[in-house]
Amino acid sequence: MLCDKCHEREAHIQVTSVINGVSETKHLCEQCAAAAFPNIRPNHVNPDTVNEWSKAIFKLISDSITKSDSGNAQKENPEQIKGITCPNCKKTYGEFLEDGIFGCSGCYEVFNPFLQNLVKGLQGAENHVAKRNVRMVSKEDREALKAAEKLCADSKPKRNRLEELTAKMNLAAEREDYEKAAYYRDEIRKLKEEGGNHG
Amino acid sequence: MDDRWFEIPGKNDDLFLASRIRLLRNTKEFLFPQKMDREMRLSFEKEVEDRLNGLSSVVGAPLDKVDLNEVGKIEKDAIRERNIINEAAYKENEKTALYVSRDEAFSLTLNTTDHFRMTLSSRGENLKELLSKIKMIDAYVQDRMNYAVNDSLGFETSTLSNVGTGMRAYYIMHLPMLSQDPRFQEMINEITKYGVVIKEGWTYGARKIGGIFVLYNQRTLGLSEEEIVDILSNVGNRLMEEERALRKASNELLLRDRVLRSYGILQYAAKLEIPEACKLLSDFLLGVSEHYFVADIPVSVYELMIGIFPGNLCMYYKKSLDDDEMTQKRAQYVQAFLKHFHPSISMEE
Repeated sequence: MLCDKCHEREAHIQVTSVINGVSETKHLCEQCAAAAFPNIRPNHVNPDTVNEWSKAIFKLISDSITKSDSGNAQKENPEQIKGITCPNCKKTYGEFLEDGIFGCSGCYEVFNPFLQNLVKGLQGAENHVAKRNVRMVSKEDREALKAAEKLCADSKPKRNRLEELTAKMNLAAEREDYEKAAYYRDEIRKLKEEGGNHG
Repeated sequence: MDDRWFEIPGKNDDLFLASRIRLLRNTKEFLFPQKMDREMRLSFEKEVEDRLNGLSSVVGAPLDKVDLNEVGKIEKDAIRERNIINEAAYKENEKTALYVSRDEAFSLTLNTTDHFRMTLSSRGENLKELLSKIKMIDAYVQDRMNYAVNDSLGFETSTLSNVGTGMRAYYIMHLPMLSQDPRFQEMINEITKYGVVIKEGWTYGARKIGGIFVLYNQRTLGLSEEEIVDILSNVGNRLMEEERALRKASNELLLRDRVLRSYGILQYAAKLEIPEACKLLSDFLLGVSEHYFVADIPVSVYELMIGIFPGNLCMYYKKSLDDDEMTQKRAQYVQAFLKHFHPSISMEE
């Protein structure tokens, strides 16, 4: 079958559109289809993209959960709750309900009382498995990591690292960024101590 | 040049084309990417470069910074096709910064939807090993970047759909026989109940092509990383057993006909379009896996399959191609690969 659009090449792609209940099917060749749908590519690993569709779905879920939340304060005064604003990034809860995107870590704290049902709706669970000190790596793993790091550090020329850190510390001090300067000072001290232990 | 990850063989890599883990993380010290302005993004990037300057030794390979604004459309397409970046980074590349290990197994993208997006890939059935390695990398970053974490919700991500572990684990599987089996849809439905998504790997518009499937965990909260990987591995293994059993039980003549017929077309086609090439390559890959061919050099089928997509094809020929050139070069590209394979069975019997 030839392409319905260019009438030249073989049609390999079938496109069905439904407009006002009337469905129409077109057969297109690769080129014409690519022109009509510019984002066609191997679709293997793609579900983490926040696209318009996932925003729309989030809104559906958040709408229905907000409505059905009978035991919650949300029912009593939804507009007031939507106006709750994260002091850190100025995102409002209403904005969050629209797009489902947190503005900063502070949002988690401020919106926390309202998140539970949303989380349950999206994830089917309410809590992360690790309760305290959220970390992926256990103590033994950390020992192994430290050993690996040390190995790498030992193989690097220490002097250059020391010079680099000193320069960074001086720069930070010049800019009156004392927090950073202190951080580099501690790094330098650590580096020197390590050197001392070995020598 | 270093071998890239898909050139290194792995366990059961005729069926498990790739394993991949992706982590999303954010730091407390900066607003999340949606609220960041340009200045803040730059200072975040600088902070990351300063504090994570030993990252490449933890990753175990040199890291290259790739400036997506500089590389040009073809290379950017190719990077996207190889799944080094996601759609968000592809579209909003002026906001992101990308670091890729020389073997392309590890990538770190800053400021997509979340501050950190880390991926680690390998060929074959390898999620457990990937998990223990990415944990090391994650610990290194966490020690230096002060992650945003929450006692009850785990790692704080920009959207609730990733909260908890912030992890998605993937198997990319080749299931050419099983996917044509009448039970397959029912099996997918059953698998989905356990929170594992199984989805056509390569879709082309609305059209599904090839026997490539992607398995990944739907939920990121309530299960540990190990449990997620375990469930995926069990499901992947079961699918592998089913696929192998079907191959064993299939009519040899039909199987041979399917493989060699597709091989013949690939071998002599003057032009190839993507959907057809994918279907034929899937049959050819089935033949490789069933020892109908011997290769004279180690050849990565994943590389071959990714190589037929426009960006990578242009990269291979080092120039931009128009539509007709593209279909011709695609055929030539595949044929250059096929030269290394020789049918190991007699064509006439």
